[in-house]
Amino acid sequence: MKRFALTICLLFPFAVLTAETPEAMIVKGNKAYSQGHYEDAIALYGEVIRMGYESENLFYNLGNAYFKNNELPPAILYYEKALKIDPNDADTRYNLAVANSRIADKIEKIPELFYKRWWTNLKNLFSLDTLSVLIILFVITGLVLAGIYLVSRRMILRRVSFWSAAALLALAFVMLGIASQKNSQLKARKEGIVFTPTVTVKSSPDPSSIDLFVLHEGSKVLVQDSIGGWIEVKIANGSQGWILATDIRKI
Amino acid sequence: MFQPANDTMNLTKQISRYILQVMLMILLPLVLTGEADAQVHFEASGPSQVGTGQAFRISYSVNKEAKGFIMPEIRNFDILTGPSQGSSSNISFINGKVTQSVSYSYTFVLQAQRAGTFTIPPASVTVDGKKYLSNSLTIQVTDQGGGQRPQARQNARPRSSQPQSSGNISGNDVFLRAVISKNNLQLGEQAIITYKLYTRIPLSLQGIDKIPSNVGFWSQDLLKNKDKYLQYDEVINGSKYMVAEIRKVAIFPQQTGKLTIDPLQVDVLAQVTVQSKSPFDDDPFFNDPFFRNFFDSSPFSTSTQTVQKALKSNPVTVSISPLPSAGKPVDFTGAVGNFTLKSNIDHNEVKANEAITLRYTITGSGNLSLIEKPNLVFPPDFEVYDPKIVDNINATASGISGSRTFEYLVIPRVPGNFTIKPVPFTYYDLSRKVYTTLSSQQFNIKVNKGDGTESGLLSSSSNEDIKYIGNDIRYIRHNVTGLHLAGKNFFGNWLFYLLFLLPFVLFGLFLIIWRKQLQLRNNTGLMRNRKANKVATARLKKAKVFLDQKKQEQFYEEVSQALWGYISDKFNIPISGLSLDTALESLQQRNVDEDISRRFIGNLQHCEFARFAPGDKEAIMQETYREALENISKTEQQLK
Repeated sequence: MKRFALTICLLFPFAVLTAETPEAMIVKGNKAYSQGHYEDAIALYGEVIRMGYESENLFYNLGNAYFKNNELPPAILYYEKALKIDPNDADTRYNLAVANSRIADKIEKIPELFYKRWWTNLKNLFSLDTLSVLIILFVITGLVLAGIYLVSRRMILRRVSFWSAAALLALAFVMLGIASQKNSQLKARKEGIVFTPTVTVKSSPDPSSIDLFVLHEGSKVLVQDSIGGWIEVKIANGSQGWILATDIRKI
Repeated sequence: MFQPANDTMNLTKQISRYILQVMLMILLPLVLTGEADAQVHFEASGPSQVGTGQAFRISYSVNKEAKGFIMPEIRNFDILTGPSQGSSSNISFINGKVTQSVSYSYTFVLQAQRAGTFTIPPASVTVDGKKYLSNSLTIQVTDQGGGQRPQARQNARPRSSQPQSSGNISGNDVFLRAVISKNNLQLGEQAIITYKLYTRIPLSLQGIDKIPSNVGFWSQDLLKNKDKYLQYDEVINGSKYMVAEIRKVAIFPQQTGKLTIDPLQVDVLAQVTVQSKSPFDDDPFFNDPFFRNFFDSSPFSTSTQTVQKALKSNPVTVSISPLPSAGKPVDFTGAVGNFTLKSNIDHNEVKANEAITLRYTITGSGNLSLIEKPNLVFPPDFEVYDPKIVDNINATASGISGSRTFEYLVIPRVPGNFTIKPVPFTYYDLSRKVYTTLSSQQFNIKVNKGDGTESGLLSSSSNEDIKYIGNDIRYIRHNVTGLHLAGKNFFGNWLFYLLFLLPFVLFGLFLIIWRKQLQLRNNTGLMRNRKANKVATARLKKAKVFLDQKKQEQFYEEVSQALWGYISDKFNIPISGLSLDTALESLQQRNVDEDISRRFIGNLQHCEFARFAPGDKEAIMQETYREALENISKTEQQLK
């Protein structure tokens, strides 16, 4: 992974040549955070993001800085962004739970069907990058084993290498499928966090339509549809309705 | 006693008047002193008519030294102030004679709650061990509220021993001024307002009528416990005035902007020299027409008279600027002035369940009374009570100074070593114009195990759950790796596809190269081995053709060739080196079934034999062909 980051740096030399490297800015931001200057930390982390960079740790730190600065909606937004990169990070999950416990809305989640849950868990088992690396490792090992099968004359070795090669290659292709689904989800940005303090969810994309329920800042919504400036959102308990696109920020 | 005077009525008016006047001048002091000795007057006075919501005054006055005043039960009225006690003594010099009279008064300021006619029952007072009751008052309350208060009060003294105000006092003789020490203040900065009473005539202050409400300020009276006013002379516009500082207030602005302090209103009693009615008008005896005439024309009737006057000070305008927002610490709570912070603890080492007292004392000048308790954090195993606040505030003429002490009583419940962290105290230093943060001491407390008799938390045998004191997010990460440009994930990147596809390409290349190598290295042996079955089958097909043509010799030739060829190809033995024995040996070496091996060899033997001994039946040829096919296929299976 490190080598990969290095390759990226080599590929985009202009990023390294700017006055301050993003790494240095993150270090500065971390220092500001540890001294309690949360606004400075937010500005520094934000600048790194504006330069086009992202990483799970950066989003996590930025979320923390917003939280400490008593800005819950952006804190939740960046925790969610960090979780999108690595869905299993224990610290991020914990901090998101703390932040969510302080927002106004408490939304009961409808439990998912078991196989959906399993699939989600399977998908969340590895981050996209880990998955990509694993796919490549599996393909390489699988093909090496296939070569051993062809070359070898010993029955046992031939048998073992044949089956493991087949299993590894099959697994690699399943993972490729998972990875591509994850990738499309990552790019789709279908979730959002409510940023307006109080939002009335309407029954249709029309200000004069019936008010269905009220959401408060920090709540997470799933964007289903959009017409004009309106978006149709769904919350964790299954309720749906229309709000203005400007009320949320997409994860 | 005065009967002889009536007898002299027959004399000429002029003479009689004159004589009587002289007599009176001699007798009057006797009368007055005699009356004072003999009679106790305890009177209640008040307005007969007031409006609802209007404040008015009732007073009880007694003309002797009195004690044990028992106030009446006042219903239907709110008591705004009172009873306020006052005493006055009058010393008169008349024709060289000294007359003294004292009067004690108890005053209430009341407010009517609702309309109607109400009676205030008599009050009682003790004079020389004897109890006296006053008259009761009947007050009619009309539903109007305010407006005619001064008249109401003045009309309401039907039998007052006090004079009616009739004299004129000019604004130059007596006036009230409010002087502020500083007009431009910062939020929370102390300023002192002094109310000065200027007078050129003898004057007594009757009472402060209206204390300004001071909206937007927190104020403290600096003369609360003073019973004497500071007095001095001052010359204004060439006239000498007597000045009394009647009220001094320290104010601390609580909001910014331009604020006006309402004027102070006081009532004064001034002694003016006027032509006036006799002070004895009220006495029934002196109401006698004769005496009235007698006094009216008296050249001596010019006397000092006490006149009541309401005075109003000037309003004071103050402009208050906010404290600088630059560098304002988060924990600043509004303390402005100049302070020091001291902290102490009474015990550093105690047994569990023994109390510790912690004191935080803030000393200095400024808005001390507004200082909030320090934000102390105690260990969770400490039992903490709300701090006792002890103020030692000196309201001197120069302002408020002193100290405020927060006294914490804490009881550690479990043994251990504990630390009470320093607590910051932030104030705005007015002289240096900066925010200053003071810090208290850090206290290390060692709590030893208490005696078993006191049941602490530890004496219970059960375990306790961990106490969660706070809830916070986890700390940031200092790891800066993993940073990459947004949207440039490894997955879907060309590098990923390259690394994904490259192994397959390499594998394909490997396959091709490997096959080539194989052909090169093992072209004879291995290729023949692989093709042995195919070659044999092709020979047998040819043999079948000969069989159909009934060419016996060629048929056997082909079958024999097929069988020998198969053995040669399979076991990589040249045809020249082959014999029936070596063939059998090779088959047995490769674990081919005994039965199949023998039949294979038998098949071969028959072919060899039949080739050179023609005349075989067609049926035997058929049998031989079938057997050869079967033997080769079976051997092939066995060799796999």
